[in-house]
Amino acid sequence: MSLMDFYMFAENSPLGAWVRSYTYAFSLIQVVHLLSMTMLLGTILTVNLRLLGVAMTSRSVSEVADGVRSWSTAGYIVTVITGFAMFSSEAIKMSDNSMWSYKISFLFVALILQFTMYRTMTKPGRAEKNPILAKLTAVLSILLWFAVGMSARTIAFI
Amino acid sequence: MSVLMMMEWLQETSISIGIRESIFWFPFLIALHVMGTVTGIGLILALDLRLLNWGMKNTPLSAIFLQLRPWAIGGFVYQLITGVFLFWSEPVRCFESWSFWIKMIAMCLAFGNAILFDKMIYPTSASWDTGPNMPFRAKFAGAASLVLWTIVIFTGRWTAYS
Repeated sequence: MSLMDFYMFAENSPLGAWVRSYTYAFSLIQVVHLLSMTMLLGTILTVNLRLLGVAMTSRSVSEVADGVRSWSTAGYIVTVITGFAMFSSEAIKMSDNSMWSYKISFLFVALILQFTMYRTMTKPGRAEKNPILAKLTAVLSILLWFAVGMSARTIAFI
Repeated sequence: MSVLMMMEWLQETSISIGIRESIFWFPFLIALHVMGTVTGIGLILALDLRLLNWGMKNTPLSAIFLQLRPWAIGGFVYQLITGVFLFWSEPVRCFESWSFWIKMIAMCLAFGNAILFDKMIYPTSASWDTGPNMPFRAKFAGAASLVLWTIVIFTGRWTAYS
């Protein structure tokens, strides 16, 4: 299956057709996407500020990460579902949108970082043992997520 | 001079026209503004979750509130700056959008709620700082914050559609 087949499949899926069939469906899904994105990135930023050692320094990194983890997970789930719903409704258009390509590329790298360095650094004691690596993880995570969000918001202007 | 006339005058200033007609500045500012949501409202969320005992249950309120506050305030200042320029670029459209007005009202209420928490509720927290359960007034402030900021995000995005 080529990439274009995947775009065609998404465009012709019942989900895409359903989103296209209601006047406000896309806009409402987009608002939910934005709300869950705030939840996801807000909780990740809280942990990143701790990793950087600039907030909540009286508590351990793992305590802060554990405290928000289930909310980050919920944020991931809702953001991915709403994102895929929006994508399905105009997949062919997205295949030719440079900002969408940037967004997905940044997202891919951001997710790799989240499930490798970020996950390791938020385990008990790890960040305290590797403060430089912890700070590097936080800086990369913040920059990548901002790149994802900013390129995502400009998809509509291409 | 009516407010609408002031908005029309503002819309004809060179900065307004410059942002509105630029293929770079309007998308760039709106992208910055969206990401500011995370640094302002996203950080407040950690505090709201603690107040409602829905998250960060092992962390004392003071550790969250005092340490995240300067970053959240920084996020809101950044939001106000990018927001002012976005408003400046299309004041008449904003003025005539019901969604924009609900956003402004909800934002003022949310700031009011935050100031009340800061001045009236947090100073009494010494006996319940480590929780786990918070008194009703603290839970109410957390719930009000969640609801009001949700409305701000919703109507903020909806301003583009209304």
